[in-house]
Amino acid sequence: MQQSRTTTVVIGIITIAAIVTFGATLARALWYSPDTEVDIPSTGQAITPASPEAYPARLEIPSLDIDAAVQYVGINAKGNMANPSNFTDVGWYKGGTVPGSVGSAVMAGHLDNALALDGVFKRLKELKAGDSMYVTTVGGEKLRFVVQEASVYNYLQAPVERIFKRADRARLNLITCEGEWIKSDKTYDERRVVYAVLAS
Amino acid sequence: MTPRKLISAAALSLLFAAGAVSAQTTSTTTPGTPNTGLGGDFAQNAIVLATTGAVAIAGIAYLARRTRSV
Repeated sequence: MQQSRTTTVVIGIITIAAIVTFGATLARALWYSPDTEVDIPSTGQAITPASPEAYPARLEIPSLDIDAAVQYVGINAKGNMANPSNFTDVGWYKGGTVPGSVGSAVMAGHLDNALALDGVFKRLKELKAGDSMYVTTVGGEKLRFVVQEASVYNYLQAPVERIFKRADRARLNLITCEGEWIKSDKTYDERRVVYAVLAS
Repeated sequence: MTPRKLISAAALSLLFAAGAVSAQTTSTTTPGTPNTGLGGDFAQNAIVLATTGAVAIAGIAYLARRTRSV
């Protein structure tokens, strides 16, 4: 009797552990993409801060049926732009330019989740020159950007100065992953960057 | 101001207060590109889900039977 009760308790504990593990794994695979952020290193060069009303709130790409909320992301411990915390929002790099200002505003979205289901930027490769995308700001202004070109780079050789720092006009660059999975680095081996400019 | 704008402004104010968003006053160094894809982990996750799911179902069935027989 005692042994039977002990067995039941042990099986109960194992069952609860299995349920919790199942739920946590499913949640992280489908909805939650954690990325621990660190402070963004400053160059010390003073700039005029953007008005909070200019911050992006939503990104729409009608040709891809994308209408996504925008999260504000910094960098992670590896010094890379951090990810949005789920697979349906996009992340705007808050250490850079606000969309609509001169400079390169950068947004990133997931290609897929951990069960290989579509992320918000799954269809980004379908964007072509001339396609429009819209950023709605916190203040309610709607900005139109037009795609100029798209490029795919090895994930270690992407031209980050061009992606994040080009400041000849108001730009919006979108990033997602592509290519083959590298198991050791837990990443796809390519990055797709779509370059767009503010429509005049 | 529309309700949506009020909510957005309120949300942004909270984010500023929480320090999650700071008005940037200096330029920053250039980051690397983000890692925006996890589909390669599908096989590993599928195995974990299948295994824990099977254990959970078996455990619940056993406990249900035990409860009925008590």
